[in-house]
Amino acid sequence: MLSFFLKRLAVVVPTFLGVTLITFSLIRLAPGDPVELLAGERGIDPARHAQMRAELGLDQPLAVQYGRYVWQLVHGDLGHSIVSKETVLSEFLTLFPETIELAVCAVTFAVVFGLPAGVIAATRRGTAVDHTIIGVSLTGYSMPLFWWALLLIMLCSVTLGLTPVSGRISVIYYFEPVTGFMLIDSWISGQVGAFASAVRHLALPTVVLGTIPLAAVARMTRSAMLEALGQDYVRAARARGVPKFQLMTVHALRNALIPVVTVIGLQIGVLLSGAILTETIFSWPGIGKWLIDSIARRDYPAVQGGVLLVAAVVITVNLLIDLLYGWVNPRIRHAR
Amino acid sequence: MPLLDIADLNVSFTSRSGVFPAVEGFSLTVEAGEAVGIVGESGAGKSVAMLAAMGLIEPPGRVSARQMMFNGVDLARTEPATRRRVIGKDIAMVFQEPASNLDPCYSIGFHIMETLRVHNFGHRAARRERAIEVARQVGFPPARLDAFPHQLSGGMAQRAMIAMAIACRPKLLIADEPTTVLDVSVQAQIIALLLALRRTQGMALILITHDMGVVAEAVERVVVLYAGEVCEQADTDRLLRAPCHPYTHALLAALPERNFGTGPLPAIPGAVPGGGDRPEGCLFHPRCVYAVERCQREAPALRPLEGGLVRCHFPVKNG
Repeated sequence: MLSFFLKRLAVVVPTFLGVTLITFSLIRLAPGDPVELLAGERGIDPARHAQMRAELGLDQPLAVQYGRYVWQLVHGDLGHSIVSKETVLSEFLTLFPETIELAVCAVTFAVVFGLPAGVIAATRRGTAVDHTIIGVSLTGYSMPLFWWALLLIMLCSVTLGLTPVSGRISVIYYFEPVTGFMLIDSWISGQVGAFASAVRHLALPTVVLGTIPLAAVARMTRSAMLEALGQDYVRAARARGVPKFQLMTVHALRNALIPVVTVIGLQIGVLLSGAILTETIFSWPGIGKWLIDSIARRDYPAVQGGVLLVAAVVITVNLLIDLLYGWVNPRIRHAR
Repeated sequence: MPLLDIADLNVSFTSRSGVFPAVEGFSLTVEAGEAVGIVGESGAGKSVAMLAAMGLIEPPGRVSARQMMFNGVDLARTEPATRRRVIGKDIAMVFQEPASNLDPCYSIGFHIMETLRVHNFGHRAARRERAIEVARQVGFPPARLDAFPHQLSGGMAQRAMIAMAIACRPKLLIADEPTTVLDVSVQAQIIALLLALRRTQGMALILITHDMGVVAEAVERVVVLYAGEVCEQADTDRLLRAPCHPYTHALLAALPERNFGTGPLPAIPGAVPGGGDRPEGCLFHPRCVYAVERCQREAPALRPLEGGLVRCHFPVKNG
């Protein structure tokens, strides 16, 4: 178990180095610099411009800037946002719960609807039900998120008036954040209607962000179920008199979960990149929107640090999924 | 009244290239406590016939039978729910490959206790106790009940399968080539175990095999299948001593034990006919050394002969 972790850690270091190099270069390739964008349309005196660039260390050669950045990182310092002057880490940690909340809801949505859909499709293989589920999930998988989000807003918010267009909760409610998770905070605040408001704000972003994982989970569940149902041990269980529902769940689904868990793990990366689009469209104040805003302001430290932290989250989640995988699959568990 | 009475069982599989009859007009009776062997080459329909009796044939397979009486219940007519209460409890089956017939996600103990649970065997503690008891009976160390299938050797896994099968004290145990994938040394142990259990539990045994040596020591009566049809049925002694059907004759002649040191083994030329190449007349005539013109034209019926049944126009005269 320990050697397994050490092996994984050995891979993490080069990954992080690669991430720093790519974000550092890409953000500097973009035209404009943070000082110009801070000044905005008023423009800025060239002497003041040069002075501020020097204060930020942007007048140094790129190699020196990168060296300094990595040196800071090694000492655990992600730097300060140019715009807010806050540390990148504190900005990230303030906004992170909002993204986590959205991501957890989206994954839950995907699993709650994707697993049963896949199971139903597999048990009704070749019927109209099966074809409908495959067709819908293929459509969902191929759906451009921003377009899908706009369609849903048009239908649910504009036409039907069921859900708000953006934000996390109605402005009439205010309470101090306790956990940072709006669903929990609004619940414990005890204010009438606050929780319902939070749920209504969360609904559309969850559906949009959860659509691709939902389709992926449904398709993988279906094929893994079909595979499991054809195995000898399912027939052997029938030969012992195990009823159909238990065959489907205890035996077929339990085995089908092994590849499905892998797919969910792979979807975590998809989810975080999807969060950037989803949060921007719904003005959801999370990491995705913060990153997009930081890119627009050429806030170099914020972009570099933010992407690095997101990479760290993805790596950690994948590690957790690996542990979960061992728990789901006894053959792996005992091999270690 | 026999324990099991199958009459005119037909099983066919439909594919794009047509209908393939896997079993045709199969009949079999087994008395309580009796041991019957079903032998034949691969593809003869031995396993399919028994799976059909268990209700384990799924579409595109089609099963029909005049009757499949078991212990007073006609399994061919009964509701699936009623049949499910019989399957696994009164009739149990042991399969060829223990490794693939155990669910990799669950321990051996879970498998045994699941069988007990679906047949409403007592409470949790009672089931645990019974699982330990049957594990002892089959020589499976009770301490290893928490082991997962991939942690067991083939022989141990087959003992676990047998433990699951006898957990509810079945009246009939169907063993489908239970030793084929095991090491030779383990094969003898498993057969000895099955015979011992049959004796102590007083259960009937249907042993599907293509090992004539096992047949000789394990069963009282033998049914020989060829291309989905019964071609001969007789008491073991009579069948081994004086086979009437040319196919049985050729099978026994091809046994290494009977040809030790006498040059190359005699083999039966050709293969069992498949779906598209079923011959006219007698199904065995293309491979039969005694075949004459009538055999190509007219399919023989199963008829009584020398205390058994044989499907041949010109049975082999022995002695």
